[in-house]
Amino acid sequence: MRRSVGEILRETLDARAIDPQAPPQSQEPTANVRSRSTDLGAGAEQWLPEGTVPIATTDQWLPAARQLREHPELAMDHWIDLTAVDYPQRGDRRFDLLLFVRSSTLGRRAALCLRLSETDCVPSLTSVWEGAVWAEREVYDMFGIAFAGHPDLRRILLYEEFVGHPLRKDYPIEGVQPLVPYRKAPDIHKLPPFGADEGQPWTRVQWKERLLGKDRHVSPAIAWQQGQREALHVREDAEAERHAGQSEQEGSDEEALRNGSSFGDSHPAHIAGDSAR
Amino acid sequence: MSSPAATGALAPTSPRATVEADPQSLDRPLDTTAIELPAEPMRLNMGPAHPSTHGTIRMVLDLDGEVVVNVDIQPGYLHRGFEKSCERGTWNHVFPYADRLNYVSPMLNNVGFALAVETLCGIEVPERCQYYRVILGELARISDHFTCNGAVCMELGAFTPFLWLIKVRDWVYDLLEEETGARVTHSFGRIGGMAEPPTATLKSRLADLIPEIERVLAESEKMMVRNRIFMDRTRGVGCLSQQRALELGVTGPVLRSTGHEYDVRKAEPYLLYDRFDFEIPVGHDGDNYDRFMVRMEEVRQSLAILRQASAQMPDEGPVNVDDPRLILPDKQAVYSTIEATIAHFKLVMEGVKVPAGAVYSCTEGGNGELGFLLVSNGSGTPYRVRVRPPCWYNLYAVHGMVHGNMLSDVVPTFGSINMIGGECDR
Repeated sequence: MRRSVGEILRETLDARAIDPQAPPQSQEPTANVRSRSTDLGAGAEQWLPEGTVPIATTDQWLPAARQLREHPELAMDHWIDLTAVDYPQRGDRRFDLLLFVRSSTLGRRAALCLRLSETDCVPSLTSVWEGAVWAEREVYDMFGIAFAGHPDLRRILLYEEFVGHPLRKDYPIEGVQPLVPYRKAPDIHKLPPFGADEGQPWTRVQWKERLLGKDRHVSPAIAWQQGQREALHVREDAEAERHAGQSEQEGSDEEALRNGSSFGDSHPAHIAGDSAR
Repeated sequence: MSSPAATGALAPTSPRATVEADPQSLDRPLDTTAIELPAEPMRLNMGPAHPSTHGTIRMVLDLDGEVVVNVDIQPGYLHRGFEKSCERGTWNHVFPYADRLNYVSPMLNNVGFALAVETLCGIEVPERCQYYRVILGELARISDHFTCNGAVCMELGAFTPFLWLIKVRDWVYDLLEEETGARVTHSFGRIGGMAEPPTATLKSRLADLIPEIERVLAESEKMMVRNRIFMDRTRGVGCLSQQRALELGVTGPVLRSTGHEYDVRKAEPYLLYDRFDFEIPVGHDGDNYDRFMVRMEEVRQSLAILRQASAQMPDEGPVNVDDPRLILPDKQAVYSTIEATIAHFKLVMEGVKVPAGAVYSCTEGGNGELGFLLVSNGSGTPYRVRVRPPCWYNLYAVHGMVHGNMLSDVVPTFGSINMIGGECDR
């Protein structure tokens, strides 16, 4: 008779790590098991799949996950999923963060649940399973739950200008997003979807000048790798000044053309800048 | 975004320097130093308009020459808000959305979602329906694997196998059209059954189709499996270790190609999969070649399941559960009795009342473990539908798989993952 995930966690962690509010669940979660409704009354509703172990505090989230991975009776080395459910009617601690993992050697599954408020910051599980990288980014994107220690926490399915977090219950289903203006980045010489450190510059590459460090279209990331960061900053300042002057004159195309010295120079300055609108 | 990987200037090497020029020889030493280009990492944007990314994925690659040193994969171009949309309709309204998750094998998604809701309701569909679901699902799996493998071949420049394999997909579509009335997005699943019972010709058509598929399978294998170009381009390319695959949440053929035999159909049997005699093919290197071979062999196993299911499926018997709370009443009764009219109205307008609770239910989709986390508050509308898309984690694994490979290997590696935008981005 093997012990349940809840029992093992209760023993290895502090007993208070398991949320006492939720009723103890003994049954092992398998793939297709009829769940039990754990309705805790008005204002505190919560439904969890059978066998989910509720974790009490965010401090215990990472230790519990480590136990799942490292305990010999659990050995949950197969990442399955991480997601959240929003219960705004609960008031405080509105989110349920749900983790699903599986053991490849023992063939058993485990699920953890953590109640969160909007301002809580959850420790990231990326140090335990790397599969958490995209899962946490998605939860952050869809629910606005922040993860501490995540290597690269940015929106993943939606664009960075998106307002709100759509899977929250208070985000309207008919919600309409404002049109996104072209991204403001001074003189990146790239068409709008590209950030300053992405993509190739929208010009011909002047190899000789680039080797001498004089090519002003070198991508910042590349320049940084070549140790040209300082020089680039100086140039950026000069460009910013030029842009300031340009916007005073309502940034005419002629201005952009006059400033542009070569084929590649002329157009991106006014496409990427705000003056086109 | 990306760390400046160790891509300092490549030391220029000139292997010919010491070779003395023989005046008699026709070979002239080439001066390679004259065309040295500055060795710096180049940042290349690939997609979302690149054909190999299906128009839905953007990859930003750091290249050292032609070698990939870093990659950032950016999904989301096909995000339609699947999970949010599910929260406004009835439970049965989810089926058309589920079709459009993995649109290469829509029937598997239909069945997966139906099973999850039925688990929540605590019901089991009749045996005939379970066989029917197995048959339709395995047909969808065949079309999924053939499409993927055909695309991999084509991405290596081999157009003929692509046409051969896609031909099979069309035959499968013909059969599914006969059964469901739609070629691609069937919307055929229902809570507690299927929209229609099997047609009378299903078994005879299957009996005709299976040998044909086997013939194409053998033909294509003969053409590709020992093909020198194909082997050179796929073996040892896009390798994924088993331990890393598990940690990243990789499932399905991609996981099995690394040697770990995890298939939900065997590990946690659902429907009637424990009654069939079939095997789980595994690879050992986790490279593109193994993924191709695993998919080919899985088609063969699916055909074995189809044969057995077709032989075992009863010809008579109910397909839907006998429960007026879940299943629409007979149309004739709706027009002639008030009780059936009311039942019909309530089922359509309010939806099936699924008991409050939550469930995580998974099935083996075309690309791996297709999980549905459903939360119901007891009303006719889902409270939360979370789909665990296998592609999502398989796609993340590409990050490590293309490092150190050539840029031209990114395309077939990406193809052999079988990323389906509808499922990945939802």
